[in-house]
Amino acid sequence: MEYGSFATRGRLLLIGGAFLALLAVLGYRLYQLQFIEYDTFRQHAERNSIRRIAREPMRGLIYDRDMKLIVNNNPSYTLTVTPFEFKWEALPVLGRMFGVDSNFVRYRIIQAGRYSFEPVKIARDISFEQLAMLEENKSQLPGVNFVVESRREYSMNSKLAHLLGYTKEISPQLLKRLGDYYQPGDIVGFNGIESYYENILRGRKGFGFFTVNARGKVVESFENGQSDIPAAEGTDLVLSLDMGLQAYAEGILRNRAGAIVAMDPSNGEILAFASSPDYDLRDLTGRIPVDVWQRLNTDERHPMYNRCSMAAYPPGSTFKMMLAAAALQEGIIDENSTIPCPGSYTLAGTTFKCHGAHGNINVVHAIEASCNVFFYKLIFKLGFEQWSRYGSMFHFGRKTGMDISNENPGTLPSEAYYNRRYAKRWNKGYLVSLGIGQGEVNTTPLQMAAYTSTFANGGTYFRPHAVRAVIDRTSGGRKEIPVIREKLPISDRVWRIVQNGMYRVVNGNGTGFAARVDGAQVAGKTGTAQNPHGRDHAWFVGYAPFKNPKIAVAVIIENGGTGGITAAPVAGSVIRRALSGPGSGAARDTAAVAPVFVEKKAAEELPD
Amino acid sequence: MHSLLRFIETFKDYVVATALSLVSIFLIAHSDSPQIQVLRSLTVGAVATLQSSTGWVSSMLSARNENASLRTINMELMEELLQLRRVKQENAELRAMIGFMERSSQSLVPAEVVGKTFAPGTATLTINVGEADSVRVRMPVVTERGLVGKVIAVSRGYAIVQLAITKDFRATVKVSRSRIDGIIAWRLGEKLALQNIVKTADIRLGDTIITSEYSNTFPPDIPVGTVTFIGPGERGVFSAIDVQPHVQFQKLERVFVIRFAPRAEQQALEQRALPQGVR
Amino acid sequence: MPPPIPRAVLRDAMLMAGLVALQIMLAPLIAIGPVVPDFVLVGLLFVAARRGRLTGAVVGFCAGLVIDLGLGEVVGLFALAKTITGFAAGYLLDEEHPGEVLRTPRFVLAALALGVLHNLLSLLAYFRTLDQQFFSALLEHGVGGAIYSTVFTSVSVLILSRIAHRIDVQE
Repeated sequence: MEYGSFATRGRLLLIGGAFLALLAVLGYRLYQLQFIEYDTFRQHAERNSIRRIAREPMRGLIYDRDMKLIVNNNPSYTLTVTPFEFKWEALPVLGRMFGVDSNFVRYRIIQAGRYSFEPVKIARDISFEQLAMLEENKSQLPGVNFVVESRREYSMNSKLAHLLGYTKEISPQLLKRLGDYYQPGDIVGFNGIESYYENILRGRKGFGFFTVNARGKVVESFENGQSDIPAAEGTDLVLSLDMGLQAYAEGILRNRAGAIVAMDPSNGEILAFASSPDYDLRDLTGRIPVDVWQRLNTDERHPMYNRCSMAAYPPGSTFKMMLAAAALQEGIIDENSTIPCPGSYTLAGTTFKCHGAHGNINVVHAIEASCNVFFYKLIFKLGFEQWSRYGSMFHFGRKTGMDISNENPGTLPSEAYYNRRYAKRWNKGYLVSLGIGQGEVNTTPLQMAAYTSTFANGGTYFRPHAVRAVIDRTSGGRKEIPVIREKLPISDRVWRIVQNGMYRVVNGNGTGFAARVDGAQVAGKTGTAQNPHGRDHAWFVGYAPFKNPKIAVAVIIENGGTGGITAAPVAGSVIRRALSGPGSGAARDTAAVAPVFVEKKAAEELPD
Repeated sequence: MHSLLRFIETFKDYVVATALSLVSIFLIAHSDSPQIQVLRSLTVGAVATLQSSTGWVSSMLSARNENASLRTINMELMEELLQLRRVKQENAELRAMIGFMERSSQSLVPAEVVGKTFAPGTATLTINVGEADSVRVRMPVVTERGLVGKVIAVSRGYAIVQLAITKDFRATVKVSRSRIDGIIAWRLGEKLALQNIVKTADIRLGDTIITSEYSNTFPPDIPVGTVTFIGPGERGVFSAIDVQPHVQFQKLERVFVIRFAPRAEQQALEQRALPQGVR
Repeated sequence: MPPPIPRAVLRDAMLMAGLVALQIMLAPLIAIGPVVPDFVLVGLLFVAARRGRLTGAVVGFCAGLVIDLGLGEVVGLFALAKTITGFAAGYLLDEEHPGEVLRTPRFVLAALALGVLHNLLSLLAYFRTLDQQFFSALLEHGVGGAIYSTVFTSVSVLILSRIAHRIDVQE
């Protein structure tokens, strides 16, 4: 019998056919993996045999200006148990290895269903040592596995909480608002730089293809690297911050409420950004315990409140430079014009007091002595409209545009504003307060720092920014962030006059003597923000060295009383630290990387 | 009942084949159980005796090559020894300073490979030492070049070694230069993968991987391999890293079993996994 | 199908034991790279063809278990693969005159197919996933190993057809 019987041949065909079919399926899948391009694959992914699973990019890292890594990502391992594969005998071993309570594990398994394929989490944050133990003994611990979550790791000696912001699992509301890209469980940046640069920090997810069995269980990756869409890594940020100065500023504010913003007046780089009280970002990595979150949010000292860019206070006397500059530029007064100060000023029966009777006083001395009467009268001479126009030039009443997501524009009253607010029932008396920076004008310390920088450098308003460059992780290429600047339409002569006044505030007979620094000439202005709820807030804004300034600083101490007494010494020590401290001030590498300047007009057209 | 018997009688071929398949699947699921270890201790000896009867042939074939390579190794080891002496001196001083106790040197059991297979499922070595030489399940196996694997079954005179290039093998390791911890697993062919290394970790091509203090199966500082590839991994934080093992598994002839005493947690695990007779 | 005769069972058992020994002793020596022939599988096909699928399954299980216990990483792996392959071989090659099929080229083809089936099963049971590791092993061991084994099947078939009459006499 050379050939099999009919029946035999039938069987042979049957088995052979089935077998060939099996091989064909395997061959096809292999082919699919190797050769078919993305689009076709995507269609397959929609079918349920292959599932598309996001490949997470790594969130961008953050460096300080010396390229020291300050924000990193670290894995956190969570122990899981797949009930279907788990054996009860392993319970005591789990207890010994990972310190988990057997009853808890039993409860979790029964809760999920004894035959469930879905892993249940039983211990968060297991150590690498425990992970090692698990991996090396996996064959004896069936069903026991782990999942990895990435969390931020901070390695700086300051808190930097308000500037950096934190990362957190996306909330359902935010998910709805931000649209397609995000999925539940994704980590997004909240507040500060983490939020402002979210789109580049997060990178772009890639996709891997996975096979899924009939019960919906993922049966591991189904890819060979070529068919996947690789994730684009998050972009790294290089901060402009002087970390030594930041830590110093935070230290000086400890046990006080207030803020310090320090800027480089030659390019708008933020050097220090301290708001007190603050909180520890390390408390907000990974899953935030409910009690920690509640404690931070119910603390009546409001540690989560960013006083640098969210809190707006009346600028007080620090606002007098703006008024002086406006009046000088408009030709209302000149360097030698004097205005008599008899010690008080009366308007429609109300008397506004001065610190003393200054007699006939010119603008430089009015700034030096912080003469109120001079400025009461001056604002009337200048006119409300011009005052508002000049205020707006310095970005008062509008955001500075700093690269931080939460910024308060403050308030800069104007005729339109008062008409709206008081239905035209306001009078000239309102202007008197504005003349000395009280009343309804409100500014943030950030605005004040940028304002002071403009006086320091003699007329260029730099948009404050805390990120000086970005680094593409894939190519390693560094790109400087363009510095946006705007030359204000105020003449050099005017700047020099006001600078002179500011110099005398500290070095003459002014109120700012406490801000003096050995070996450097400081210029500045004190201020007191009237506070109807309690003790006044103390301001000091200043810069140094007087010639070729390296730092401009704005300090506010809440309930500090008079600026000259509480805020000026703080500003003085910050300036001293900045100019002489290790790795800062003189040593700062402003010229190491040539900044890219973009004039304001062009900047308006830049995409954000 | 009667009809059930009739059914079984009629389809006995199918019933038996299905039953045997199920038994096999049950065995796969309980492959590490104490009972099966007992069974293995009986079989391993018999199989190893057969293997050793022809093992000399392959040894002969490779002996010539080995001689030359041994001479090279000898030289390398000499150099290493000199270096180690110096390091040990330094180390001793440091340890004394921080009150470290010198770990007693691990005792090595030299063994000859009597059989090896490389098919998936049987990528094992059979070696001519066993319980009689105090070799136990889970003990690490090395050569002078580095990590080979670990013992998964023993009889009186023989043991089976699971190679590092098998699916379920894991070892906790670190980058010897930068002390970064990771976990080694099989990747493909004779290549290993270094896992759990964050992208920002200090790791470079050519770095040497050694076993870590965190390991509860292997003593620290056994060389494992060299980093040959670094790329982005699937998970956001991790890199995908390939490691070329130092040991050439195909050419293994002589190995050492390390009588390594695992720590307490480990012993607890063993107590569960192995009955008295086998340990 | 001839009823199982004790002597025949004994003979088959001895044949298989011999092949297991051969596998353990000889196979590593003639490995081409990582690819080894499976003598036990070749023997299993002969036994299954002559004694039917029930015997095929039982003999396959026993032989596989011995390999698992003596060499394997995971016990039960080859027991499973060989049980199913033995059964499939018996089913596929079930003939009215079993002696004949062993000498035909068709047997060689069937042996190749069953070899691939066997390796496929063992790889599936080992990896349990269809990932890169699986596919690379499938190419190397699944197909390569089956072809290598089939070479030995062909040699056996050639030898058998030379001494065919002796088998017929014994039948």
